[in-house]
Amino acid sequence: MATPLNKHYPDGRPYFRPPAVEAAIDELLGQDFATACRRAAITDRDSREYVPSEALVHLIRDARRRNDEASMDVLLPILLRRCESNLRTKVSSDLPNAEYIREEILGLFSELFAADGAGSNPDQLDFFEVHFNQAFQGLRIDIVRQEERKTLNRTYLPLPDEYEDDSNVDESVLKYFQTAPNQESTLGLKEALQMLPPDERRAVELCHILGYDEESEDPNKRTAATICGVTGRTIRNRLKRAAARLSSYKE
Amino acid sequence: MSYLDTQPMSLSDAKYHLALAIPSPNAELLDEMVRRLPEHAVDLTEFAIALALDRLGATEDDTAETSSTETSSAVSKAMSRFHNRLYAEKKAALSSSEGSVGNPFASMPRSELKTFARAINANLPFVMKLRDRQIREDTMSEGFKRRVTEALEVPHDVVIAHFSAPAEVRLDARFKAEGKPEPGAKQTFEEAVRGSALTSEQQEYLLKL
Repeated sequence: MATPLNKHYPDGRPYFRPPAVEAAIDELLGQDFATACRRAAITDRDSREYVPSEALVHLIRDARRRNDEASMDVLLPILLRRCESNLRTKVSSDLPNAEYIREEILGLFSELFAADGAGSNPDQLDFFEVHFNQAFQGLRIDIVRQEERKTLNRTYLPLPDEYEDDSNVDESVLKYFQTAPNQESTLGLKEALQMLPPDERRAVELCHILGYDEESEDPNKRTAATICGVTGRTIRNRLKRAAARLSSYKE
Repeated sequence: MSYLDTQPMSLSDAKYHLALAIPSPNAELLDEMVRRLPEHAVDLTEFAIALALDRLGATEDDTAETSSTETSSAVSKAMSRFHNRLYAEKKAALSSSEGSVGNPFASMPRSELKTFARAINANLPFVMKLRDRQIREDTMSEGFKRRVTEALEVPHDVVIAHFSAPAEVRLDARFKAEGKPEPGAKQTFEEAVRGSALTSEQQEYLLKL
């Protein structure tokens, strides 16, 4: 049986692996190492013998706990190859240091296994046994956004010529960010979002992507206005201008 | 009071909580994390936005991994980092069980510490924190650790082992209170940079390494 996880959800429940992952781990732990390695190397995700990355993480951590370096040397590269494949898709080659960023993410990830069970955060890899893709996405994003800050777009979408502060603007374009639409309709808008002036972009991100209220009568409530340090009216004006720019972009 | 109120939380854990939120982190969860780590409010907010944007319009297939069977140079480099770190961790564990980890700053007099501070574009208070292991190694950038390694002219694993070891209180330190204080919780790298009276230019330099 797999070692229980030590991390807890924000509501206090211990993190737990999905049943399919638990079953895969149990099965693998009952097999000899050669079989586990053969299965881990299978890249066809539709294969019945395919090993989920969460289970692969568990096997590597198990080897780490036993100081079994030989097993880690076989299993970790298999997992890293999966990660590298993911990074080739997810780290845009448009970034100036794309190759370096991919290597940095892989390097940092590999070090988590070396440091597993030690230091100030010994159970960090628990998250990767719960939902590998999402945990790895978090690691990736944390590094990529540091690089993206250095290459911020300085060319902004223009406001329509006829736009004035008291214009009536159809803000329905902003709803696209809330409704998890299909990829085709979203891709262009995600790109356009990066072309908004920072204050307008932040208002859209807070209100329409994270779901914050524009403002609140409750002084203790975090809202887009309190986060940005402005009034609710200013947030609404920023949203309106953003909608005007995005609408003209969409056309 | 929620469970989290009684448990210490690191910045990286807060980010993983956000990352594992399905389908995306929302304002409620972000507020909970910010309430626990108010000093990282901006970082956590930007991280949550980046996550949510990354997932916008993505399907599960987008995030699922596919793989080749050949080992690339990137994987080889990552394995090399794994082995270096493993060596450092084992050495740290061994030294810890034997007493103390070798401190590459231990033999440096104040004048040398100042010279070292200039070499990494920092100041003496910040270097004291490095010397006394008051900064969490997992929050330092790889670039910073490499810079320290170059400036100290010692093996990289020695530097990693030093920073990974528990914080220490110097025997030669002067204390106002009676007795020797216990080493406190370590700071994050950013906290240490922000709280060491460094110039804004020095802070920016160190945080970008």
